[in-house]
Amino acid sequence: MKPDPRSAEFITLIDRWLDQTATVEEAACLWQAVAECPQCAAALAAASRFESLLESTVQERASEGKLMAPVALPSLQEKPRQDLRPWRQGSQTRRWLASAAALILVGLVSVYFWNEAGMERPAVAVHELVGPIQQPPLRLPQAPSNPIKDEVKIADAKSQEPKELLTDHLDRFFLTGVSLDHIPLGLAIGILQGQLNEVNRDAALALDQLRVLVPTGASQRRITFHSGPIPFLKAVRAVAALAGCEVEVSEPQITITIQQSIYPELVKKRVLSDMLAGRLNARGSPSITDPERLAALREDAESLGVKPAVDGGVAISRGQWEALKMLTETRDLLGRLPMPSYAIYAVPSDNQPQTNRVLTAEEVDKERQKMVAARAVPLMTFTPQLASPTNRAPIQFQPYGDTVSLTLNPAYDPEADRRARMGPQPGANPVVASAMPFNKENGEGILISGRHLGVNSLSFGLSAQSPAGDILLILPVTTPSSPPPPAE
Amino acid sequence: MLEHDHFLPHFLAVQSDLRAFIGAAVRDPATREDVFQEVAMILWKKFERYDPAKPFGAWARGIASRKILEDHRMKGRLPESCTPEALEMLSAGFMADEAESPWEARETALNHCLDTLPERSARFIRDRYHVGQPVESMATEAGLSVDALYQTLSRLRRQLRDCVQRRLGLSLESE
Repeated sequence: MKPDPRSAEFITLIDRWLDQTATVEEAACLWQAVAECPQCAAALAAASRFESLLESTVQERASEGKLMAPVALPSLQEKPRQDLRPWRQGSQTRRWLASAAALILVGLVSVYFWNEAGMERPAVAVHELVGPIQQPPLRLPQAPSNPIKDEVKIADAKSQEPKELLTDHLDRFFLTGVSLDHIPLGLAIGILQGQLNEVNRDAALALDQLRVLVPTGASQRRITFHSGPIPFLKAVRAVAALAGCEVEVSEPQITITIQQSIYPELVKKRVLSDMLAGRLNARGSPSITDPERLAALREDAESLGVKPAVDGGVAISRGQWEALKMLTETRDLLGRLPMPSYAIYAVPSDNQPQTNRVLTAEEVDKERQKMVAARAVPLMTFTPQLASPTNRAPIQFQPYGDTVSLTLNPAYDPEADRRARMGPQPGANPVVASAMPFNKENGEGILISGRHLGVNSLSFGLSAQSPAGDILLILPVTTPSSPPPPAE
Repeated sequence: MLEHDHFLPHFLAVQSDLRAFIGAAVRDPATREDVFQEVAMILWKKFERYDPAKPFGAWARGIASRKILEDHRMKGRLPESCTPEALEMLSAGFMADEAESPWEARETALNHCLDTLPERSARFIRDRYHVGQPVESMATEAGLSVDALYQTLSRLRRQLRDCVQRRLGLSLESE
């Protein structure tokens, strides 16, 4: 007999299924009805959809402080653990498939296993283990699609102390950039982990040990955060802070906990330049007196939605201040990276392969000798700037994990000069990436074919033009000195 | 062929519905999240095969159905009558419900409705859906039998759904 989807019996059947109180017979009866009766299927769909809506809305309201009843998060923390999310205790094993970027680029899937039974839970409410979900569409130049080896080591893992902590390494292991717009915290952390997996595609880091826990009560808080290259852990700290949370690091686990204050957080008046107090710039001078660093600080503050007043004061929340601190520390870190200069020569393409490629140190030596013998004058010498959301230059340094790559953006269009719009077209990927081993006498260079640029010249916005048909040799010209000591 | 850059907007738009769809068949919340994560990964991997002329949500539910059946039928977690045809019917039901009113509209309406709940009812909803308190302990605290509390929760859900329907100007008869 066809069931009546509007009958009290059928509605009760759905409720019992959703409440997990249905008997085996009742469950069979429900699904039989769903298979045979479109209205019954629609009724279950509507009920399930509403249940899910109710759960997410209630959690979001609680996390935003819109409490429907006199409840406070601290009281939740005082509850014995068994009172919280009991179903989780029944789950012996949680499996997390990961590595979204690997899925994009190399089709790899990382599988994480987590045995919850032995896991010591943090005191704050309930946490969810977040696995990498997906790679966001970055606005920055993408990481090299075909990375070339022997890149510059920012922090050579092999040369580190053997017992270096993974989480310490992650505090200077660079993601290429972060672009999160109104994304729930849980998903945002998953995205960051996806990016981390992409950068770590050569598996230099043992990421299978890494655990990132996000409190359920804050996982739906939406955050917006944009930055250029930034170390993974600093990005996590910034994102967590913007969601009104704190980060506790206990190797190999990163636990995000809810900050015990009103959320959204209240703002208070501060002096923006206080952020630079005690810090040194790349030249070893106090950052607080460096106009460039002050301008960068303002730019970072504005990226967080904080508008500095004329007197240098800002109305800023604790989370924004913490996120700004992460951006500032990142700038300090970037400022300490050695930046070599390069000379660009145009040479006839005779007998040269028409492909972009990295020149080995030996080839660089040979080419240098040729240039000297021919008394060739470089088209220009330059020091590439670091990649950032605002850097539109055709050649940039791109921090990437433990390395810095010299990256050429293929879609650079000389016509853009006329339109005062240099740089890559949206979505363009670099065709060539190479790097300079800073601590060696002879670094690598790049050979760029005009054919592969789609144009016969590579303009740097000023004057460098190569004759049609030539190729460009980009050769390192300096060996940078040791970076200044850390500011802190 | 679709660029993976396009995946995120598609996925974000349907993720709540997708989680609800999986939840209709997989009732254990932790398992539901596991399945959701796995389905998200499969969608990502297979995104190139997605035909943009068709609704992304339906495509995602189709993949989720296969995942649910593969994983859970074999483990005896689903009734025998939960067949591919039943999940296909359920997917169609989701599409109809989604067409009636999108998730965001319902969320806004539900927020208004939650504001109108009496304190005791609001506490039940909070304890169940935010804290995740077991019904048994909720019943003890409230001085009710477990059955009575289930009925109370059921009544509250229906009350809230009716409120949302009214706010959205939808006919209650349409359910």
